[in-house]
Amino acid sequence: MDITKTGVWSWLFQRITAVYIFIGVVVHFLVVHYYISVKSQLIDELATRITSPGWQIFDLTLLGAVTFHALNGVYAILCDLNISRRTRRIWAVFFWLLGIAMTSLGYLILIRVVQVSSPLALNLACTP
Amino acid sequence: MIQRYLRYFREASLNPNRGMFTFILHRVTGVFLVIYLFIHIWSLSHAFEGIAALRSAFELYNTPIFHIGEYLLLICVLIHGLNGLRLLLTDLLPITSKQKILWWFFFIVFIGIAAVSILWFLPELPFSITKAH
Repeated sequence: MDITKTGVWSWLFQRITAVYIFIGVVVHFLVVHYYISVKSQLIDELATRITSPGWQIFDLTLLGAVTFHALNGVYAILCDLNISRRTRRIWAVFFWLLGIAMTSLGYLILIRVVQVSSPLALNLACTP
Repeated sequence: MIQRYLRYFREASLNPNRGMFTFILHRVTGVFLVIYLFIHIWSLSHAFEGIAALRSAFELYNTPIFHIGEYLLLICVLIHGLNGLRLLLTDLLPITSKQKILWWFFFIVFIGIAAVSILWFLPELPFSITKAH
């Protein structure tokens, strides 16, 4: 076992993000499935919800936390295989780049969803 | 490298107990959820092609196979989430002596939520079958 000092921080962040994700996933799941069964249209729920800044912040922070938690978890599995320090460093860089790319893609998607759904949300608000 | 993976599983099989079982389940469901996360983000990227493409992508998920997959996803999230909560509680609180009771408590909570959520997911199945045709 080779435990470095930096491992403590990723351990702590893994716990902090775990708590946030636990609450966030429950909220995400209930919101999506409650509205599916009521309206049977996920896209209308998404269009009305995503225009509010609170839900935007919720979605963005949840995506960031989940991405860190997921890739840090895979990294931990790799570290348990007792790979060399050099290999570990390479994987860490790879996971950071992958995580930043995926989170940015998610942010771009959210911006796009807000753009395309605002007239739809307006339509829904106008129809009696 | 492959030998390292094999040793990893052999070490787990040498010490078969409840803790090792949940440890492996935690890792396996974790890897499943990472794969799901990538697919989730990728499927949402239909938004770049406009609202119609996103809507047709969501329609694809309103089929029986995807609803069953959704339930399996819920099972994975439940195992990973509840086991993670159990780990957090044993890490933070001085309840190491009560570990077995805590394990059975979370096991019962898991069975309970998994059973109740079937009632939630079953009504969507016939609906999605009629929708698909």
